[in-house]
Amino acid sequence: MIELSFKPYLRDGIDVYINDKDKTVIFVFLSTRERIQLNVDDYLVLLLPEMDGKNTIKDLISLSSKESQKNIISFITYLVGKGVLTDSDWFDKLKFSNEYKERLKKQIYFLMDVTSSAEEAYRVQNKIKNTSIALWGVGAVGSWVLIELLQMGFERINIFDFDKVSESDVSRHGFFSKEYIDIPKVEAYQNIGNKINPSASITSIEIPLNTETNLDSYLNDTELVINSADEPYIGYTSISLSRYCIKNNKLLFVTGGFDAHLASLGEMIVPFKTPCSDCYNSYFKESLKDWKPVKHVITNRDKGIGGLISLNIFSASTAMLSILQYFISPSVFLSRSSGRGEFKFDDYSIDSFTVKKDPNCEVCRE
Amino acid sequence: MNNNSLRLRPSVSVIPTSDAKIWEFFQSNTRRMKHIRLADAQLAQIIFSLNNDSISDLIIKFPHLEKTINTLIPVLVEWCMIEYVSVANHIEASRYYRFLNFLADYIPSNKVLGIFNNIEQSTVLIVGVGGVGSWIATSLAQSGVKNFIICDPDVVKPHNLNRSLFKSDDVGKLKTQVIHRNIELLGDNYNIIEVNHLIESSKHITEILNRNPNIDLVINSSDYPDVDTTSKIIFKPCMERNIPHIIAGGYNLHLSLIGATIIPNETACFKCIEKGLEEQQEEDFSSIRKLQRKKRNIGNLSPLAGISASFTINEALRVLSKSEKLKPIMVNRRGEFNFLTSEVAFSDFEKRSDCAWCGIEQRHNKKIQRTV
Repeated sequence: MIELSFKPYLRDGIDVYINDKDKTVIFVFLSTRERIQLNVDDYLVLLLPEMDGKNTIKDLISLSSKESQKNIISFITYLVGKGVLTDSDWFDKLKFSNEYKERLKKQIYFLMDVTSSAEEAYRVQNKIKNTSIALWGVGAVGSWVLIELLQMGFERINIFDFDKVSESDVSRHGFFSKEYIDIPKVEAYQNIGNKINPSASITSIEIPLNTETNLDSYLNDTELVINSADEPYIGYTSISLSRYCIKNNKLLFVTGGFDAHLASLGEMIVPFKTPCSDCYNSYFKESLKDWKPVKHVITNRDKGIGGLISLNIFSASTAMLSILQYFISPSVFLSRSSGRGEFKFDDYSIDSFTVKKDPNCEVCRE
Repeated sequence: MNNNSLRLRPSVSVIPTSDAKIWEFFQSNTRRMKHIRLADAQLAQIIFSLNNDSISDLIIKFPHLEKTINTLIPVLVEWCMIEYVSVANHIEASRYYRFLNFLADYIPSNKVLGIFNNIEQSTVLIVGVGGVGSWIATSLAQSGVKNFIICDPDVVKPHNLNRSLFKSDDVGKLKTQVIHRNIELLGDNYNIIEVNHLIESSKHITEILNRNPNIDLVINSSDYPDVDTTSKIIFKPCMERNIPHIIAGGYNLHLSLIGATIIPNETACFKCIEKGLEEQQEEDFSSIRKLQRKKRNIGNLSPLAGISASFTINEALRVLSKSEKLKPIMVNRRGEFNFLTSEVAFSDFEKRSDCAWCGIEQRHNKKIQRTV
């Protein structure tokens, strides 16, 4: 039962449309475009502008006739349940430092908009703040992933790379600066990361990912691994990280952005719930079994490969969206079909196809 | 080797198909493919091993294939499957080689450097370098654009750090100053003009356009007081001067909007779209009033800013290329990126004959008035 002293507040992220002819009110959630349509009496419509966080339910009742008391309470209770109305000082009550709140307030409003509850918005932001991340590869996509992680309020990040910043990275890397040329990428991006958010703890580890890499010594405390390392090639790095993550029950996100997948949306790998990298591998092995390119006449093709900064940003951003969607609701996220999406520069459509768990997968078969 | 030597592009793969005479040419940068019939097995071998031979070299080696070589090779250049070695060397030596190779999926080898030059030499006016504009400005510079006019009256505040490309120690500095410095740090020669007064009327835009007659593109990424107001201010002077303009999305209330690209007198203009939207709204919300509310705190999110900026950067590079082969996609349309499903949906608009600004009827009326 809702308290009469509760001060209902019509949330900022909701537009309200009133049809006086047929007595309907439509609430439109701006961030998701979802709508709620209700048939309501005039006196309830008149109360809506008064739900500004200053009036208690008792005040609102006093504005109407006594008989309407029950209706007002059930109307408000319903709208609170739907996340249309909230407590006026929900934001002030959140248990984050003032500095963190000031920096992240717009995102917390966003989370409030999509989750429709202050508790949920807090839970998701708190999860973001506390999740420990390992980011493999701070290059064309990884650099943007790091920037977005920090902007979103992640504060525990280990970055891995063994490459140095080169001049041509200008056309792909976030916060590229000529001062970083020839400096190890991990060093450059630890520096950049610390400047984006000095309160974040960023550790840099300059190692390649190969058969000798002892993943456990680096990933033991990690909850989410993000792979944007395509050296020696993304198939290899993902397989080894995926096998480790499945075995140790850690989340893995494999980003797009590598050759021939410049703007792919990437895939979240949830142990035993989604296909793992080995499942993806067997899927592609089967679907591409007749696709055998003629040996290319040019042996070293590195400098002949293309790239586009907007597609790197796109891949990093869709990766971060997937992670956020998963944090908001694993079950909703997992109810959608797994697979891969490729953004096409030609017409801006997204080509997507479903990949299922391989029932015979040696790695993630239960 | 001479200036006419050719090679199969390194990013192009050739794959046999079930028909032994038909080959799939796959451009891996853009995932586009063409099936090409090479009836002669020897000819196919010549193409697959093409690395440093000119058409005349090939004809000397394979005189019996002269006619086919003369027709096929220029077509494969035009279709961006093979390239001139001299151009490829030029590309490899450039700090922008990744972008140049990407362009070369669309622009034939003999023209790609010229098209990149169009992009480099162009001048872009960006109104608003905050949530979305900061990404757009730096990314265009990272793709070679050299000349910018950036407008923003604001200083960086802590709550901008959750989605704009600023760092903590930028707080308190003018946004234009920070973007100016970040672009300079890229290490090329840039010409950047900062404008720090609030753009309150079309007159302000007209003044900027008068002072800088070479502006090729105007991008509106400013949402103060709201994007409708800023777009109204910006579109008129652009239409009068025939300057392409993009209404970037990503602003408050339309977080995941992918804005329209407007080529004056060719595509739907801001007014055509506004009218189209009004008609759509009439269907939805006739006889409905909106509850007016003041001082709302609306949320936003870094990846949505990134996605929105990404579309605008694509569009800007297409417009600046001034190439028929890279026409903008967001003409006559707006899009929405769905946060919950990561899907894109577009709605189409048309250039309207009854448009108050660019419609035929309107122009006809103007003409009559003039004659009278």
